[in-house]
Amino acid sequence: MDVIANLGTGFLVALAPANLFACFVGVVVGTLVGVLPGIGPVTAMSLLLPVTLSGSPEAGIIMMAGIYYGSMYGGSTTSILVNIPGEAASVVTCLDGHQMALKGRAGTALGMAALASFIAGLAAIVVLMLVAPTLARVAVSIGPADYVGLMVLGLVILTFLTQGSMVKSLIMAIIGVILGLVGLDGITASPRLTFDRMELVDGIGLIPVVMGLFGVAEVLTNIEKAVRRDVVTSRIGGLLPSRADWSASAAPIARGSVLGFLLGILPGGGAVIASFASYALEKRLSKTPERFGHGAIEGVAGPEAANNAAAGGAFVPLLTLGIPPNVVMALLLGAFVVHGLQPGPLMMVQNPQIFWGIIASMVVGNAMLLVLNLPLIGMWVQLLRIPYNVLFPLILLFAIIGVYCSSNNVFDIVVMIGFGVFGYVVRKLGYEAAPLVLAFVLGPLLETNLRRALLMSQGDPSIFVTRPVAAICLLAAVALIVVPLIPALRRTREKVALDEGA
Amino acid sequence: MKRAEVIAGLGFLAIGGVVMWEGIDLGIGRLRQPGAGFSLVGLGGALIALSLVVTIQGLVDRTAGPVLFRDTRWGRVLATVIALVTYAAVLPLIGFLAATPILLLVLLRAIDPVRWPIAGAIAVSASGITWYVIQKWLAIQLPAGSLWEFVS
Repeated sequence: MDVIANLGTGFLVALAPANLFACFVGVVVGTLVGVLPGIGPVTAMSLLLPVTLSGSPEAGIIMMAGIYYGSMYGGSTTSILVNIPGEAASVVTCLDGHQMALKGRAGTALGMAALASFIAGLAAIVVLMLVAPTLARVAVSIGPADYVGLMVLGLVILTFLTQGSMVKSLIMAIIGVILGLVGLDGITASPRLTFDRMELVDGIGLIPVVMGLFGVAEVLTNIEKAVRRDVVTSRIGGLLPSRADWSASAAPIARGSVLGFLLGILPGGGAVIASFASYALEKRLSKTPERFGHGAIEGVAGPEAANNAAAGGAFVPLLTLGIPPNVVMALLLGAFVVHGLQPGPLMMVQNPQIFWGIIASMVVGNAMLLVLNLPLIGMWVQLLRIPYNVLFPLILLFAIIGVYCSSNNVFDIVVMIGFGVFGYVVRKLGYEAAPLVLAFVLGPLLETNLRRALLMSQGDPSIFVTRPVAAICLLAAVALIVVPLIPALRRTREKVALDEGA
Repeated sequence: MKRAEVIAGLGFLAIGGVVMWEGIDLGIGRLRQPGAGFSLVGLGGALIALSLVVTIQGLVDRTAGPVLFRDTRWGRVLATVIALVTYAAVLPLIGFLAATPILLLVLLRAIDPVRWPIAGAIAVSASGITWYVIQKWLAIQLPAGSLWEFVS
């Protein structure tokens, strides 16, 4: 009953005109960035983070959350019609979605993608509502040593799952933590790694780092190669799937929802992994696996459900533990902090209107997305026709504006350009940016909890192995670092490794 | 030998060295009471160790290294970076309203040319609309340009 009463409070918050408008702007912008290749949800959220400062915390967070799940919806449109994923989680949808489009079933593919996303998104919200309060109660008893274990595990899982060399991913994660520590030390107030630059005393901003690594680096990578787009131009009709389509897709949607939610909760996991895992599962379970890759509707329904359920699941560790499981949630944590809020076990008690308001807004947002995606597909298709040589200067302009508005400081634009060039070069060398960003956000938290745990234990490092949560997490992290050293297991890792470009 | 891998490894090695040095300089403290440099020393050490792995792997690997710039339009990347750096340098001097249309025009014309009338229209309208939204609606002060203040 508590949940229903709290949800009622949440709907009062979510349906307030300002918050409803914020939700609408969030899902429209999210769908837009999902549709446009070259702008991911991370870039869009960074761009709009300064804009959210002017409104209430509820409106700001609701808008940011809307961008996230909106981009999950929108990404499928480009995958199906252009064979270019709008964002990383939609890569799998290209395989069968575009094939369906080429066979004249673009409408059905788009309709099923939107409906599967809606159903899974809604299921994830229901589970989030039921699970989060219990988890939050458990989380209150978690101490600094446990937080260290959880955060280390999150970082190691992300480095484990990113493409290419794990050593390189670990290097990026360490650089991320180091960058997060630039500025005044939280305990002694000594300036660290500031090189006598006043601009660095407050640390390096999250927005210039993310905009550089994802926005500018992406643009630089795209303009060095000729981008070819093969847009399906035939009239798109018959958006509603047939009875046969539904019967083929019902089980994949259900399985994708469960799988996606569970993978979304895991630190380091997320929508990308969920969509790949769902595709692999459906192909394995299918009686006719040879149809996959040639326009099987299950190959669209399962992954689309999974990536949206994962987007919902990812909120669990953020809202209950205050630990972001992936880069997008790290940005959302940044948004909370900007508004003076600390997500975690106490949030539900101290700011119930925000917690339940966000959850209720997801229901509203998912309904808005369904309304937006089905009838407005024609408009999104028109947007896909904007040539990249017109689009990229505008992306750079938005990046500059976003960075400048977050700090009113030209120095941050320089930082963004620097990280853009760094991101472009390291990407060419096979280093992934995602571990750096997550580590950048977690770095200060990790260090504070590490030092706090050592202070509490009076310098006894055994605190990290005597507390069960810390011990299990650290043991799992060590195991994941050791796994790539074993050839047979390394091959398994390479199979599941993903481009976690967020 | 993979030259690019080795260079990257050495670059990260140098960063690790600087971080470790800074940590030692700030003071490591003791486990009972970790100092400001405690984490930096640990992180610097870990970065040095991992960089050495990458460097050594690059040195002993006989296979071909990653092709970084061959068959790519890297000149466009360089031109874009130069345009952005120049923009950041002149922005405080000539202000948003003068610097931004020039940047957009350069990007629209020099990198992957868009026709002059379209490029001009986009450069002026995008700069103008953004300025109006940011400065007037959101009331966020954009750089006005110290040069104009000096002249006036």
